[in-house]
Parts: sequence; C-alpha cells; structure tokens
Amino acid sequence: MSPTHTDVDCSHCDLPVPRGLIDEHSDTQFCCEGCRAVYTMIRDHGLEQFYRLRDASSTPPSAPPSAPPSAQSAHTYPTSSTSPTPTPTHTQPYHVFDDETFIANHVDQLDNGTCRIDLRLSGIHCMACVWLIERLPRVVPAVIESRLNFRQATARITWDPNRAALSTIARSLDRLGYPPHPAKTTHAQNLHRQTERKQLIHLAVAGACAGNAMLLAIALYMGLLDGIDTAHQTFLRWISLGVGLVALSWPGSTFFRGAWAGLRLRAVTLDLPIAIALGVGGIAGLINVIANRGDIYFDSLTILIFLLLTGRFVQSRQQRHAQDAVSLMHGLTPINCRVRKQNTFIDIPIEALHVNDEIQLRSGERVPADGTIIDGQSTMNHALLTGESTPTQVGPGDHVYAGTQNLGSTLHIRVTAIAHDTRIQRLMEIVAHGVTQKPAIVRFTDRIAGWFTLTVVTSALAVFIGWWIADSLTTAIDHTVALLIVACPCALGLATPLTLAVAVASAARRDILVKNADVFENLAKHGTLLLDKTGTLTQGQMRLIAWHGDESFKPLVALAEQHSSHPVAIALRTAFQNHNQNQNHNQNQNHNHNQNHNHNHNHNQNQNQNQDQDHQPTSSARFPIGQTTEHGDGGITTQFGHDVLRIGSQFFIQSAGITINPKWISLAKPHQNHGHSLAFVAWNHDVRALAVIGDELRPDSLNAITQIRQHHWKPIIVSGDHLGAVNAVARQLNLTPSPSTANVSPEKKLAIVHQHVTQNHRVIMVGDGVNDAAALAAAHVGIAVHGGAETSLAAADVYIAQPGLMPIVQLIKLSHKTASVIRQNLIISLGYNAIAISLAAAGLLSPWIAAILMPLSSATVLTLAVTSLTRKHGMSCPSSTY
Amino acid sequence: MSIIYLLIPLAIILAAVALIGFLWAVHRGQFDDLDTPPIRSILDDDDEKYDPIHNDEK
Repeated sequence: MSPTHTDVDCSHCDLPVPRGLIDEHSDTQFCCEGCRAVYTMIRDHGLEQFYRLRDASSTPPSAPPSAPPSAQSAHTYPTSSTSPTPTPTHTQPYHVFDDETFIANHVDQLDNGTCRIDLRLSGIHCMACVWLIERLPRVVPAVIESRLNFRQATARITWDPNRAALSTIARSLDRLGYPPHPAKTTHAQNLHRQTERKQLIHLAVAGACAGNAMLLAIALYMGLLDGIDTAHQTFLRWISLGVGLVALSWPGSTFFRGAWAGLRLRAVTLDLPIAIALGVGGIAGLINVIANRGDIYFDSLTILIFLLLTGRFVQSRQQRHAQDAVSLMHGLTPINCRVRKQNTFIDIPIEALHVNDEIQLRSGERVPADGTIIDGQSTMNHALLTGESTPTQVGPGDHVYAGTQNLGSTLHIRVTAIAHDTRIQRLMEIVAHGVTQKPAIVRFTDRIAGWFTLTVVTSALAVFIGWWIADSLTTAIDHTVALLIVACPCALGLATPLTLAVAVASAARRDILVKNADVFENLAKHGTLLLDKTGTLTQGQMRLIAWHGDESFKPLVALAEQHSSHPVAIALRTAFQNHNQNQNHNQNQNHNHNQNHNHNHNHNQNQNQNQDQDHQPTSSARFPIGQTTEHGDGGITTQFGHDVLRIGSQFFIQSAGITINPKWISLAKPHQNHGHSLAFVAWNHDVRALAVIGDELRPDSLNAITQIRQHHWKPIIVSGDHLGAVNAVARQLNLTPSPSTANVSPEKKLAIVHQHVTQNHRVIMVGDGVNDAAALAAAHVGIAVHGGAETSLAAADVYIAQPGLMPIVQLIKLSHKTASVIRQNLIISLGYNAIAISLAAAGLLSPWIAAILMPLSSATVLTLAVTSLTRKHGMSCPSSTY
Repeated sequence: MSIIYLLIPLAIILAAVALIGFLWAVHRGQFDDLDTPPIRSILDDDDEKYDPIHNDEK
C-alpha cells in the first residue's frame, strides 16, 4: 500500500484521496483537480441529485461495459477512466466543432432556426448519467433539449445557435466527464434500424390481429354452447376471415418467405412446417367461410404468428444489445488534427483533411490519416494494427497509419491516404467481407425441421386416406386440415429463440458479449481451440520474475528506467515502486544495506535522503542523476555523479567492455531456457545484479486448459512469439509444443484455421490483434478478447471483456446448458404435438381444443427456457480481475 | 344483438386508426430506443419547473 494512502474517499469518484491533498477545513475532499472541477460544476447547477442516483444504482442496469479497458494494459487508447465516474479529459480543442466543414457534415439545421446534432459520449455507465445528460439545459442555457440513447451512448442535442456555439456545449459535456465525438451513422446501422422497425410493426400487427381473432372466436365458442343466430355466426366468421387474412399476409409473410428461401436452397428450416400449417389453415378457413361450412382456426393461427414473432424479436434484440456494446468499444477516431497553413499550424476537423497536407502530430495523439514522416524521430504504438504493444522506432521516410498512437516526440507527417483509403478502413472492409464467408451452421432446429415435416406430412396422408375410406371426403379433409394446423412446431419455434436470448443475456452479465447466437450451438460440440499466447494464456505484460544479486541497486535501476517506455523498463519500474514503499517501512534494514556498499560519498548521502523522505523514485529533483542514454542495442546507461550504471542485455554489457563473471551466466541459463528476458545490472566495471523479466502465465490458465480438454476441445497455441517462449508456456500447461505454431504470421494463422475447417474440425479462434482478424472471421467461432483491436472486434462473434481463459470455459459450459435446454424443449413440444396429432387423427380435435393446446405448450416451454438458464447450476461467479 | 353489425366494423375502423398512428410513430423514430425510456421513467421529476428558454441562470 502506498504511504500516501488514506481512508478518505473523494467526494466525486469515491477513490482514496492522497494524504497531501486532504484539506482539514473542508467537508468535501477530492483526489484530483478533475474531480473537484466536475463536483463544483454539478453543485453550481443544482444537480447534486446525480450522486444520489449514482449510488442508488450501484449495479448499473446491464450497462455497456466501460470504455476500452486501459488500467491493465498500458497500450490502449487515451480514454478517460475505468471507474464508473465521469472524468474530464481537457485535451481536445473543441473549437473545431464550429468549423464550417464540421457543421456541414454533422449538424442538422431545423426549420425554427435551432440546430441539432447527435454526439457520441464516452463515460456513460448508469442511469445517473442519463439523468445528468438530460439536464444539460441547466448547465448550458442555450441547449433546448438533450436526450440520451443509453444503449448507443449517443445524445441528441437541440440548441439555439444564437445563444451558444457548439464548442461551448462540447466543452461543458467534457467538463462534466463525458467527452463528446460526432456520431457517425454507418450504412449497417441504418439497415439495422430499418429491420428493427419492420420487426416491431409486424409484431404489433400480429398482436392486434391475434387479440381480435381471439375475441371473435370466444363469441363463436359461446355460440356453440348457448346457440347463436346463423346470420350472426356467418358475420363473425367473415370478420374472423378478414382479420386472419391480414395476419397471414402481413406479419405471416415472414414464414412463407423463409420457407420458400429455404426450399430454393434445398434446405429445410423450421419455417417450412410453420408455413405449411399457416397456409393449409388459411386456405381451409377461407373455403369454409365462403362455403359456410366446417370449422375455422383463425384464432390459433393468429396467436401462432404472434408468439413466434415475439420469440424472434426478443432474440434479435438481445443480440443487438451485444452488438451495440461491442461497437461502443471501437476506438474513436480523433475529431481534429493540426494542419500546416502557410507557416503556422491550425486545428481543423478531420473531415477537412486532404491528401498531401502536412500535419503535426504531438506526443500521445493518434494519427488521423495514413502518411509518411517528413520530420521528427519518435516511437509509435502499433497495437491497433499488430496487437503488439512493443513500441517501434520511426523516423523520416517511415509510413504511419491512421489510428496508431505517437508515444514520443512531435512528428511532421505528409498525408497519403484519408478516410476510406486508409489501411485500417481497408482492413475493416476485408474483415466485413470475411465475416460473410464464415462457415455456415445448420442449426439444430433446422435439422429437426426436416424429420418433423416428413413425419407430419406422412401422418397427414395416413389420416386423409384413412378417413376418406372410413367416412367421406369432406370429413377426411377436415381432419387432415386440423392435424396440419396443430402439428405446427409452435413451442419449438418459440422456445429456441427465447432460450438463445436468455443465454445471450446470461453471458452478457458475465461480461461476455455474444454477437451471434449460433456460437452456443457450435461451442456445445467438440473441436479445436486455437489460442493466442500473449495476453490470453499469459498476463500480457512483462513483469519482474526474479532478481539475483545486490538488492540495494533496485531504487537506482528504477530511477534509471523512469523515462523509458520499453516494456523491460516498465516492468522494472513497477516492481521497484512497490519495493520502495516496503523499504521505507523497514528503515533499519536499509541502513544496514548502506554500510555494505563502497559507494562514493555523494551516493551515500543520496541513499540516506532517499530513505528519509516518503518520496517515490520518480522525484529526482535532489538526486544528482546525470545523463540517461537509452541505446538502440538493448541497454541503458545512467551517470550517478562519477559512477556509471549500465542495465541491459548480455551483448550490451559486454560491448561496453565489461567482463561478466561466469556465475551470472550460469544463473541466467535456466531463465533463458524459459524464454525470459535478462537484464544485467553493471555498476562501473562489475556486474552486480541480474533481473529476469518475463511474461508470466496467468494463475488460472492451467485450470482453464484442463477444463477445456474435459469439454472435448483440443487447445493449440498459435503465437507470433518465438519458439522458446511458446514451448515454455506449452510445457507448463501440459500441451505438446509444436514447432509449426510459433512465429506465426497473420497469413499463417488464417491458413491454419482453413486447414482445420477443411478437415471438418470445428474451430474456435481466440485472438486480439488485427493480425487475428481474418482468422477470427474464418473460424466457426471467433472470440476477441480483452484489449482487442478494432478489426478483431468487428470480425469476432464473441467479445470477452475480462482477461484470461476462464470466461471461455464459462461460455462453453453455458453453451452445453443451452443445448440441453433446447433439447428439453424439443421433447416437450414433441410431446404436445404427439397428443394433438393423435386427437386430430381420431377426429376429436375442434378449434377450441386447439386454441387451448397451443398456448399451453408455448407457456410450458417458455417457462422452462427462461427459468432453467437463470437457476444457479454450479457455474462459478465471474472471475476477479488481476 | 344485430347491433354487432355496427359495432364490430366500428371497432375495426378504430383499430385501423390506432394502427396507422402506430406506424406513423415508428417511422418518426419514436420507437427506435426502447431501453432509455424505462430508465427515464424511474427517475424523479425535478422539484421546480425549469424553463430552458427563459431561465437564464439558477
């Protein structure tokens, strides 16, 4: 625990307030100026209700997961926070929102002189956020209306342009902790919206028709009991026909189209028996009403249509929720960039950028478009494209790509490609295309449909012939029609989508977002599981595993590495910051260590100063640390007064003329075999310590691999890392190391997936980088994991927001459970169908019996579907993060 | 009972009008977001009426 840790919580975000920032005279405390600013703003506008609401909704109502997780991995987008409290960024120059190009592209001018815009907000987590955003008019009086779409985290803001500029509004939103970006509606989103609307309309019409048909039917049934005037009966039957035909031709057309589409492809889907039932029932009803004879079944038919459409609607809504949540994770492109105009640089919106413009990219900013570096040296984070977090050196002449992040110093770039021509956009298009080529799955219910239809048609024929012989043609027709109607797989058609919807929701509660419900069926079977190594099986970050040698060098090493962004440096820094805190608690021990050194006088003084204060090694103001040089060949040199500290690889130390004592080499050997990195620490002319840095296996990886095996999936590691590291991990997990699965390029990954697919093995691919995207799309089930790049999110069927393998195990278990529930439903619905068909065959069926049986069967499977997956059945709670 | 010859067609016409109203609302996008209204309905109303156009400061 940090020595500055206190028990006082920030009044805004509830994180602990460091000791130095506590103000005894105030009854509110803040952990940072950002929180103080937001709190003041909320208070000034009378919006304290926000805190009450936020605390009341401590479990957000299935909120979309927070912005791209950045706490654990040091290499993702510069988003605000992972805590459920909005924090402002203060980094965007929002004045580009007032630029003409921006306004032309994103702002709607309404008739009454007001303007309207859709802004995508980061940091929306719970209903308190909804409350706060919709009270924006209090904060910025020019805003007339502000409405938030929670699922898509998009606010529709209408404001008076004469009273305030858009940039003011944007800045206020940022200060409240919700940095805004212009919302882009893609073609795919528009398509989704149209489909949703159509589904809703169909559902409403089907419901209205079903309700009315039922009322009319009850009147007719009462007529059967008590007697009814023939004229009235005929009238009611005609009205029923009208209502029935509306239902069959409008919402019911979905099933006819589906059955026809399936037949054309010579595939039988569940739509076929449904279409048969609806068609036969409709035609028979039509004839019977016109001829004024026989029974009509329009009440059962319309209820059928309504229930089946409800099931599908619920399922597609759940899937869309998951898809929305995943698309919220897509990195946001920068809204503005700095372009050279004559001799200065000005901020312009990104849409106004042209090819051959010169842009300036500062440290921490993300590249707005593809280009070539004209001036400047820096390091870039290419995680978006490669999935690797190791920074790469770039200089003049090198290409940079839109979306990657500049880690070092300012660069000047000549733009070569913008918008859809950028590499990342092209990749997205390839991925989108790849997704459509995914190996199709013949769903379980569709396979059943074939046998089902066959059985039903055979029974119908048998009944028809039987009754024709035993009685008259008309009786035969009547009984056959009755059979075909009640043989409809209503229960099955309703239960499966509902079961899948519940499964998708259940997974979402465990932070597993399922974009495509077919995965449950795939995962309930067996096959091959292709796993990435770094980040999935391992922690994903370099950590200090072992330290051999002089302990007192640790703070020096931390100091030397403080400015480097190399993974080894980060690992050493992190390890020793913690260490320093412990040292400060054991002051006596430190002093003893001091005596054992033959440092020079200066250095001794500095060590004492170090121990005396509560400071972190990063505050080097009083430390006479000299030049720190980071060398290209794997090492760092730091001057401490007259002494030199060198940290680096064996090669680096030896090139500096220092002989390494053989004892260090023998200490290093076992670690090298594990594939770990070594950093030798040399003081002046002697090696004094050895640091072993590596990416450790996650604690639960072995358990997860064992369970995966138990569920009949064969795990294979496919990694871009070198053979030594892969083999080391494989051995620890009891997996057979295979040379073909190390140093794997993106093309090779895709080839491996294809290889398995053609061998008819079911393939699950787990990955995170862009180099995995094509493989993810080609596999039967593509799973993108925690920290995944944008393209792999788009390519995958499942996104897992937690690190590690255990969520995959949970998903597999959930799939098995879902498959068994679907099988249960099948048995129950077949039972009902058997009873109904027997009754129809015996000639005992009448419309009112059918009207009871159908809802009864639906209610049974519905209850089972919803309750079975929510009952506790030994599934572990979501694993804690590390 | 022959009143049903009038009442039932009347009821159907009313249902049709309601349906047209529903279709209009859907096309205007009022049903696009079915998740935020439930959240909004739980939130309490503000104590004072707040007029955004005429109320300059609190």
